[in-house]
Amino acid sequence: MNKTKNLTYNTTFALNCLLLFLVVFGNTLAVPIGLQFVGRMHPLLLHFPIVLLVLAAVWEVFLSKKLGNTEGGQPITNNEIGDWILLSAALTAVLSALMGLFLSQEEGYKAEAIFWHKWTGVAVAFLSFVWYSFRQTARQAKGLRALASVSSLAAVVWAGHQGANITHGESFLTAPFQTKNEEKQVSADEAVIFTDLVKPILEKKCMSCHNTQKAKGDLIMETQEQLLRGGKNGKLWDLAAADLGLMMQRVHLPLDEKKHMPPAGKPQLTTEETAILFHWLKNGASFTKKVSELADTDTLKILAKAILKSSDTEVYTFKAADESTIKKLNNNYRVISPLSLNSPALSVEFFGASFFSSEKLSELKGIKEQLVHLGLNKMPVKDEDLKTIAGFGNLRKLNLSFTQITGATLGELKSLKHLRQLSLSGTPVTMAQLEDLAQMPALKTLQLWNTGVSPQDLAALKSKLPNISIESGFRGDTVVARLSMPILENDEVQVFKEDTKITLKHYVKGAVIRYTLDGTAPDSLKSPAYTEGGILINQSTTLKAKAFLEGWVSSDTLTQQFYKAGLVADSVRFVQAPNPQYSGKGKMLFDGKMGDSNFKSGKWLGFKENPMEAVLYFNQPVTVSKVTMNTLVLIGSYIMPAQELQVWGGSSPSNLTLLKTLTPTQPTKEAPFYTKGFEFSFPAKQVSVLKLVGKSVQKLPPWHPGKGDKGWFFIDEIFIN
Amino acid sequence: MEKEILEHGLNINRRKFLSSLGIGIGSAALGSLLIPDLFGSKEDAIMAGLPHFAPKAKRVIYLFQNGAPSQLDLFDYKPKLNEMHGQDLPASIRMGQRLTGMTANQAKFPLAGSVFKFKQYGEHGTWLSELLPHTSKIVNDLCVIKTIHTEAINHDPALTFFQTGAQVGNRPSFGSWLSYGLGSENKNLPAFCVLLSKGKGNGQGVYSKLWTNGFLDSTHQGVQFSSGDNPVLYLNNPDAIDKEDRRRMLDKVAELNGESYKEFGDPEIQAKIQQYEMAFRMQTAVPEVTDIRNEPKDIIKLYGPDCLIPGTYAANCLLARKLSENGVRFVQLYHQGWDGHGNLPGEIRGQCMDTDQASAALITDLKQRGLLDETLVIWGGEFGRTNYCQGPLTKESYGRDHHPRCFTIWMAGGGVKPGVYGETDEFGYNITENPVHVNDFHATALHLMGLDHEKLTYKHLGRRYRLTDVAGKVVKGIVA
Repeated sequence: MNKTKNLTYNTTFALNCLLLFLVVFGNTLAVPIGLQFVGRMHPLLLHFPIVLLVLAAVWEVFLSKKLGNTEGGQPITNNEIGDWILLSAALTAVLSALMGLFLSQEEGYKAEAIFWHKWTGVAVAFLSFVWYSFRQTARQAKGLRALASVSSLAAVVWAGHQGANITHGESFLTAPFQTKNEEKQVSADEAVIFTDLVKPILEKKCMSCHNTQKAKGDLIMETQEQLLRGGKNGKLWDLAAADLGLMMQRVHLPLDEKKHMPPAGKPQLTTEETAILFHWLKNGASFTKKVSELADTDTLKILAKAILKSSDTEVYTFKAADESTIKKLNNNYRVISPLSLNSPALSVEFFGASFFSSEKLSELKGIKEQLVHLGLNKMPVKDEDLKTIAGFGNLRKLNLSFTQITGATLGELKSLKHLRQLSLSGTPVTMAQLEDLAQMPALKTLQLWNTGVSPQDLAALKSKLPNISIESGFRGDTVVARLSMPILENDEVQVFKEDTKITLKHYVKGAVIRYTLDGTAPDSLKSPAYTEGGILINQSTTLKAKAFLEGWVSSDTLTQQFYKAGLVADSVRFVQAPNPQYSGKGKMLFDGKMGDSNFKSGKWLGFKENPMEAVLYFNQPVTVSKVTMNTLVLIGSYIMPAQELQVWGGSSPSNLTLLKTLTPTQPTKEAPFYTKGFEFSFPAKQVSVLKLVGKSVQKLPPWHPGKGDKGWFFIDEIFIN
Repeated sequence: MEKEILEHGLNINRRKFLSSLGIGIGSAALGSLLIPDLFGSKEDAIMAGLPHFAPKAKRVIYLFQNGAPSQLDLFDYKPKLNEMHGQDLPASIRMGQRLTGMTANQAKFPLAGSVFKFKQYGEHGTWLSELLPHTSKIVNDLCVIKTIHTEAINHDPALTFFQTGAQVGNRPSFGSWLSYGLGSENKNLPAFCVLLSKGKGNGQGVYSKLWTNGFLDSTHQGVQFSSGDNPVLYLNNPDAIDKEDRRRMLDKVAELNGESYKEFGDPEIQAKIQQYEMAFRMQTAVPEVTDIRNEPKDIIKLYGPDCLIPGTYAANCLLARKLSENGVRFVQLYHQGWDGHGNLPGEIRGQCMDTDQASAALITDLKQRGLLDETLVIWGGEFGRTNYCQGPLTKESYGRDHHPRCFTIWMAGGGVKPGVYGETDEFGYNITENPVHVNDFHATALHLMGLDHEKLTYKHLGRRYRLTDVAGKVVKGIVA
């Protein structure tokens, strides 16, 4: 055991001598290739001395004594353990230092960068060797032991830290503590292509290897001169070459290619970053050109805009308001909110006109510094209040639309040097009052819809305020629009029993409804105007109504059928049941409720496969001269007029005569939905049973999307008179 | 039992207690390893109720065109389809795309060119069909995204995906996330309002699960406004109860609820108290906002006279403007009737008559009031429609089935970059450049509202959820 120990000790000694020799004369020696391989093992081996030295210190200072005193009688071998730990530490330390020296001979490591690492590393090797050599002495003297431990540890920590800085970069350890504020504060308008777009990429993705401390390939990319100088393989770019030279060649090599940059395993360039480098070179690799000098369609500009913040995001530098002040001023009708998290700027919106007063506005003086958006839309703001508002010097956006200002005091706002947007819509401000706004340096947008400014004035104003975009909004008097149809308010009277009143409605103020009851088109002059009282009817009627109003195109005609309910059959039987999807009860034919365009409403009966054959029974014989069937036509949904309609009558189901047949005209093209009542008039006849037949279309016409298919027949009400 | 109540009262249970105990120091160390800037940056401490960074827009109005409008008849101009009208869709284009049960069994997939005429409009040369005359006037304000795509192929899952970020209906709605992330602006109105209307075309249902708060606090639920005299149901005082009585009653109820909260500690009790209070304030605020009778005649001409008829799309657009103007964070409209499986040209004509003018009017109206730059307006359906015909094809008429691979929506206002984004192939079937997934759409919309979609999270059932869940990236190309 002792032999091994001695051998190891001697080896360590010899290695230390070699180390000393190399440190002193190293610069004049060339490292053979084989040793380069050994040198590259430095990052592997260096962890051993670190751990072993820590362990040695802990062992020597804290553990060895305690263990030594426990086992009575037995030879205590704890010093032996301590020896071995210390010796291995010394051996690995000197080996690491040697390897480090070999590694430092390779290209790319600048002497000044590794200076401290080199000397501390050497110190660790010597210190640990010395400690081992005088370990027995150190074990006797408490102070000496502590000194040895502390100095070795200090050396190893320092050397380790220096080494890590070479590999990972200077700020690696402290980076997490530095507040990350890398978000570019430069706006796209001011940004310089190189400084704000290209350099950050080089810093992030290239400079960890190409810096003053570690210049791989003799290339440093920190300054303009260094970039222009290039590395050992020559200049970085050649603007005349199709591939723009070395840098782009390397970037574009496949990742598994050895010369690909950045090397595999290091953070790679994103597509955008590659594109920025490429287009910067293509644009002439200028170090001073600004983004704003590029054309809008330039790829580089488009990329820049995506990366840099747009110029309209403002950074506010004033101090935040006192939180308690904000809390005190904030309530449900005066809502104060910061523009965003951590922003000192405040936005204030007023809600609820009845809660507004001039005091509520002037109370905001407590936050006048921070107030940048003020919304007073529809609040009863008076002319004198503008003086208060003028005191809010940092305002960017002010909404005064539909307030009660007259414009007389508009000049007050001139003191708002930062105001960008001003809305005055819905106020009676005039041309003359607005001219003062020319003196507002920051004003960009002005809303002037519905104000005292005439269209002629507006054109003049636009030329007087060329830097301000004026939004004049929509002018109703320039447009002729069509009125909407009158609305039947009481549609439950479509089927009525006794005399009834039709009431109509139109929502547009001042619209006049004119109507006819004889089926003719309503006329704006001759037809009667609808009055509050409604229209009285006592028999089945077709109403046509139309709305008129000055300045509008008259409405489409509302056509509505009103039916006087007649006889109601006591029972109804269908020879073949209606389609189960659209099958109400037989009573539906007499329920007084008319169906509309919604054929699924349950108010309609539908037949497709089978014809409708409804047999109506009357307990007492009745005299009939007119039958009306109300049917639906909805071509898009395959609901067509019937092929043929028949009315049969007689004393019993087996004894029926055909009273009348109707063949409805089939539509010849696409048409909107309509309902139609088919009237069957015939000489009066006494009957106990009526049979109504409706045959659906067997083949849809060729122009129909469903040509050749069967059509539907829909019916909802029957009137018998 | 008492123990459970006590624990609940402390608002802490065994699992929470143990896990927080165990996590303590360990998580700090681990966390700093995993997230290097855990100690360095303050911005991780996300406070619900504030934008993460300066927002472009403060409010959203989402004009949802329920049933899926045909992009090929409105925005995505494909003359190739007219050229090849009636020919079969090449398999190389379809690439095995799954089809709905409605056309999967069709023997042929004849291409159907649009019957409508297209023209280019505005600064960006945006193609629009003749069905959108009013939209063409505001086209300079629109960002038309032609390459949105989704994963679902049927209405309900697709709609649910758009509205909640997941196809199953148990997640919080888009509006609820915004209400949670940004809080309400006007405390007298709900932060999230829903308005429904129906066109004459083939319709598809909408259900309240689309505006659910999911696992978020129920104060973030969407409030449906109905047409007619009572826009918000049960808001008015019953007969013989006046405002003072109501106030006294609410105070007493709040007191009792407060007691109950002290005892049980259920956060839902707090939510309830807040909702009662808001309802009380809404009694004044809602009639003020929803009264459209006093709108000037210019506004009626702008939106069209239908805007005075309660329940129409035009009326809802007008109402949406009024709500938004009054600080409602998210106004969600649904307009039904776009599901053109058959007779599409006829139906879409009607749908556009109902919606084109009012949609455009909303943009104009917001702009003239100085509100467009702070409001994000979104128009679009849940998926697109196929380039081939469903059912019989004629020169004038065709039907189109569901198409999830590409369709068109538009956005306008707050922070949106006007123009046309993305391109589809000449068949209008596949995306050729700049695809925008539904998750990307959500991420971008949140971004415009000043929210980082990866940081707007809520912990539920042991993990953090986002509107975009585990996907989505901000589409920089549509952000101004």
